[in-house]
Amino acid sequence: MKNDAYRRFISMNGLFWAIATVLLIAVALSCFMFAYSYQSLRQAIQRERIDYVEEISAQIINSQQFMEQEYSIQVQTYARILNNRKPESLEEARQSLSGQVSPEILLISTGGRIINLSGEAVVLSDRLFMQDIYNNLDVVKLFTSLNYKTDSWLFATPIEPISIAGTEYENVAVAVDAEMFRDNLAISLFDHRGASYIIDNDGSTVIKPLKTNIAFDGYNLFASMSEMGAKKEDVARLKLSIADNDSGNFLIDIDRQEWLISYQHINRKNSIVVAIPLTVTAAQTYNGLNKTIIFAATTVILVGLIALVIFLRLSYRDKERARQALAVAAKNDFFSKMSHDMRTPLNAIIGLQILANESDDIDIIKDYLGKSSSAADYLLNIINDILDIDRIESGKIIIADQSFNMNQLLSDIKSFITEIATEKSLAFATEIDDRFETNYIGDPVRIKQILVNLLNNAVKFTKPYGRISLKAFHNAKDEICDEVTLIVSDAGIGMSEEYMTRIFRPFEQESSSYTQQYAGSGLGLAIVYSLVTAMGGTVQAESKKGAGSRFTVILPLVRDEKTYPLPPSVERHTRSFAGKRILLAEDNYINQQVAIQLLSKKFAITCEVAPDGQTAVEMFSAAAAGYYDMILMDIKMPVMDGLEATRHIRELPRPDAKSIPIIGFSANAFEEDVALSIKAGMNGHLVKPIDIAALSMVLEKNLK
Amino acid sequence: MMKRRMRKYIISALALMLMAAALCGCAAEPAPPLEGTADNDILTFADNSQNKPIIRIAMQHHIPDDFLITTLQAQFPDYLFVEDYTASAGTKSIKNLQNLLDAEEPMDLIITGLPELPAAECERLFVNLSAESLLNDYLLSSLNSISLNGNIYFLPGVSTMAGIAYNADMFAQHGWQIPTNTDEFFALCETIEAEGITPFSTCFKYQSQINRLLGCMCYDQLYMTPQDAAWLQEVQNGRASFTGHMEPAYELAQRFYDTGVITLDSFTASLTQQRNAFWDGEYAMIDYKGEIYTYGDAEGADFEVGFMPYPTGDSQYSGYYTLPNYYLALPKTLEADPERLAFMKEVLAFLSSAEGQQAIIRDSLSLSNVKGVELSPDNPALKYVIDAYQKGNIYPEITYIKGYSEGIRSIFEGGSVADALAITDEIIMHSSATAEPQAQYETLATAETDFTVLETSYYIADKLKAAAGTDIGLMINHSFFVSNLAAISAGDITSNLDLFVMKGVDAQDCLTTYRLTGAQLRELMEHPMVNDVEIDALIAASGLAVKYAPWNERGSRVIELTLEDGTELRDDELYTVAAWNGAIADEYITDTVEVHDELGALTDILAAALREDKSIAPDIAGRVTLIWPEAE
Repeated sequence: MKNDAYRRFISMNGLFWAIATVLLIAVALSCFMFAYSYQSLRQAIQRERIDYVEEISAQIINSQQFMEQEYSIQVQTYARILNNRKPESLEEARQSLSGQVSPEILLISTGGRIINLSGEAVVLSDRLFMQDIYNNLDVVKLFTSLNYKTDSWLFATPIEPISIAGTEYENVAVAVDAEMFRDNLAISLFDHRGASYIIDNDGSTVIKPLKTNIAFDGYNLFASMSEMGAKKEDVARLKLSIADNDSGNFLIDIDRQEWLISYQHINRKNSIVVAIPLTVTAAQTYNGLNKTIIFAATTVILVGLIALVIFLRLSYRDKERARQALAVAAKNDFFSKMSHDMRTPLNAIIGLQILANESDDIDIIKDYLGKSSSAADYLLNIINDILDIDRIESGKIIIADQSFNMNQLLSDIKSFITEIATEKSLAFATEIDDRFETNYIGDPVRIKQILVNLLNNAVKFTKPYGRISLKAFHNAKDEICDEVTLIVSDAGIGMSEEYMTRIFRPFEQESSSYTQQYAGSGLGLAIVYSLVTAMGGTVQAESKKGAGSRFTVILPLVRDEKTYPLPPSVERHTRSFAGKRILLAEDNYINQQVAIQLLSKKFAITCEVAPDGQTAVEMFSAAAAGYYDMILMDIKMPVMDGLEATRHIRELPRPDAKSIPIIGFSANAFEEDVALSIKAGMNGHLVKPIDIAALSMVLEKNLK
Repeated sequence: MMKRRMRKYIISALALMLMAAALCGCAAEPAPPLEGTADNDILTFADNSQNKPIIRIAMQHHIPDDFLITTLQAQFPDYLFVEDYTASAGTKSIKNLQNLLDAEEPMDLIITGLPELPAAECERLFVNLSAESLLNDYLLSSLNSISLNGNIYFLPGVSTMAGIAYNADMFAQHGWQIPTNTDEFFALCETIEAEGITPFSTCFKYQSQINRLLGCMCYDQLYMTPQDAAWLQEVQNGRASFTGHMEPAYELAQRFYDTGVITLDSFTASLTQQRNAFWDGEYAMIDYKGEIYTYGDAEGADFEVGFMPYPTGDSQYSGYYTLPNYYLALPKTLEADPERLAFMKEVLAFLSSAEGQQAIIRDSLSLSNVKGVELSPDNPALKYVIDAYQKGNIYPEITYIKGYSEGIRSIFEGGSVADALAITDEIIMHSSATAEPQAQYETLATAETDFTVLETSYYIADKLKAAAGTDIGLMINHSFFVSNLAAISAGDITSNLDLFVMKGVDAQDCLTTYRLTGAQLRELMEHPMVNDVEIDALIAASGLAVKYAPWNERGSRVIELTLEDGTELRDDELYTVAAWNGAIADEYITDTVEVHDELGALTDILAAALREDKSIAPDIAGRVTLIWPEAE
């Protein structure tokens, strides 16, 4: 089952990389395609701009030609009218030309005098043009200023001489304000950023827009471009093209902006130049383009991410399934093993009790009950180990920090192990080569548990008449800490090398005929390992099949320089507490009976029972002060639990409410359960099933 | 109480010691001198104690009054604008300007006539203004007329109308009528002359005035028709002759000569002196530009000035002449200082604005080339010109033609019209056929180092004193009329001394020995006057030692005046003084001792002196001590 899950996982991993590779290639291709498309798009936009500008140039040229034609036709029309009507006064001339729309109609005399139809003289800035007028039979176009006020285009054509007020006039002209031309031919583009210009071949501007924000100002377009930062070679190129009457366009950089310069010749003397800053004018288009690209890219990335999330989710789900399968398998293994390990002693307990019930021989009955009791102890050990390993694995185990005497601890261990070793005809040697002079801060209970587990194993797996040993010594680690070394050795069956690699895993046991005979939960060494690790120490195992085992535990322990009196040794025999009365709060009838019988038979103590906490409080309240000598309080009870009942009792307004010993008596066996009991006001905590020795110590302490 | 007083004294003493220490510290590191101060030259008489940046305006065109400076000063109060006429020294002022620009003489703005320089030379010397937005407001036609290869180096100033100014009060008093044609004009001249008054004056020293007077009085016959325009273009290119076209002008000149209205003296006359004679009522009419009104205000005219059009043969064509008054340019050297260049463009932009143009035009009869700027209806001269203006009789300038002046002059020397035309034609043909030969000049002396204008003025004053053999020699320094504007440059000094030809001096003026008392000398130094107008100028006085504070008020600038050897200048003692005629106002002269016409022109005197000196160096130490205020 494990292998299947692993294979599936490997298979998934390969798929992931395959997909990732394909995706990477796709992304690279997309980037390339994007760059290519973007460049193409830019070129298309640029091309579109060029087309647009060329179209504008063409329109402007058309407009100019149209305007020139229009005014030429207009002045020729006036000439024909005057030739037909032959006006002899300005009034007649005005009437003849009435209805004709013209900016200003001028009559030019033979002597060069110029008047308008109102008779006002008109002064031109340059009179040399007159020869152009008189040398042409057609329409002449001139740029000049009128009366030092306005720049104007003059369209003049000859007429048959007419005499007005004694002056002979031979030409008629139309004066068009240059601003009218400007308004029609000079176009601001792209919010005044670009513009069209009509220039002479030398670059001097003939017509340009009135105002442009950043386009070229001044008199000469080439000079303005240079002033704005255009490169000399670019300006020279434009000059040459204009001088050659070429048409075309090119891009130039001016002040770090890209400009499109389009030029088209109009006639021998003039060209039209359209200049627009591409960088600025195309910015909006590029912005839109960029936004679209960003949107598309975002969409693609989002889709990719979603696909990736789905893929990872599926992959995770498979891995989770595999993990769950492994967990289920482990759980099944665990339950299978637990079922076996727990049913075995239960089977012994139940079977022996049946046999005891069916037997009349008291000795045989005692023998059966004694064996049944051993099986029950074994079952209790298994349950305690299971609970311990569960707490260790869930991280709930708490290592106490309390001062203890190592000599005392080792002495207790020695007494305990000597007894069981003796029963199995084993020699138990202790070598405590250096007396521990100071107390340590640590968890003596857990240290005991470590040693008991190791020594129990040593006893268990050493054949009768074999030898086991405990060696203890300490080294100063630093100023405050000692390294305490505890070595448990045996001359037992030993372990294989293969098993040595997994001896600290839970539920691991080496299979052999001997171990099967003494099979335990397989949790002992795992608990040892976990406890030692939790205390910051190390544990090492050395073993050889058939040659025994050696476990070395090294614990760092803080020295406690204070000295404490040794606790009085517990007398292992029971004593009588006749006349003492205990209030037992216990909801379970069997447990009530067990407790009553034990207390009365073993310690001659009278018991009164309350089935719940509330009743216990009431009974205590109702009793006279000192009536009860102690209260044994179960924790989990109906109506009111033991903790709540304790708090109520402690708050009662009677002299013994605070002083009466209340001892918790519960199947809740963990450290935090003990802590809760103490916090609620209890004086101690006894764990079910009842340990006679522990009970004896509690009674000794509280009823004396 | 006593203790407290003691403490007070100690604190005061410490404070005084600290102040003294601070003052000593200041004295240890003197502030740099104020801008415009030098030990050996005077740039301006305007007090620059505030140490404003000085903007030098190189003037090649005399602008009456200082309205331009006043206008700019009001607009840009953080700067000090200074007119510098050095660039107009001599008669070949364009050449002088070129030399000054080549020598990178400091100048920020140039006011000039339109120099006939090739485009490449303009590009080398002047800032190309073609890209400037300030050109947007000018009439494009006015820019077209001055563009060189499509580039603009000069901004057109206002165009001035020229006509015949007359003493309106005198005319009214005598009941003289304004002549409407040429015949009436000559008849009027005869009438006026009969009254013992000079009827008319013009200055034919300048060909532009010949062009103007004769051209306008014959405009209808010479320049009006298209054929005339075509001829003019041809003759300017050396492809046509005066003979057969310009006879009316030459015959008119003959008539002027025959009637004595204009004499040969007109070719050497001083326009300034003519103007002064006009103000004095000696002349009834004077050929002048519209700025006569500005001069009238500046020079204290005490009668109303009328302004009649030039009369023509046919009265309907009597009209005025228009010519550009001056042009503005920026020296190329400014491009080395972008910040200063930007400021000067700002100045030009202001002068090109309607506000700037109106400030320039003021009451003068000038036409702006900036769109939308017209003659103010309040202009006092408008009533005289409005009729001709409405008739369109405003004639544009006729371009300079070589040989015209020589031909006309020959008439006033007794030659015939035919001969005069032949002379002109010869010059036209010759100039078009051959290039003008390069003049050869003799090296007279060597200047060891550059002279300032003041040092040059002192050198000239020394030479005048030596030539005349007087106690004292005087030369007005760095004014405009009868003044030295030249600065000798280090190196060879050739016989080309055109730079030293003074303004407002005619051929009759020469070195003269006067006698002045010490008191008169003191007054002259304190209040120099030219053409009856007090001027801001230090007179370089050879033979005297002067301590002079240019930035003091007029009347308090001469701090100390002694003879050159340090002895006292006695008020009642007479001293012989050599000066050019016109340099000393009559009121400062006790008597005239001798007129040294045998010494010739100033250039002749200088040539002789230089030839003798061979090597010259500035020498003003101990003779002039300029006193400037300390920088704050």
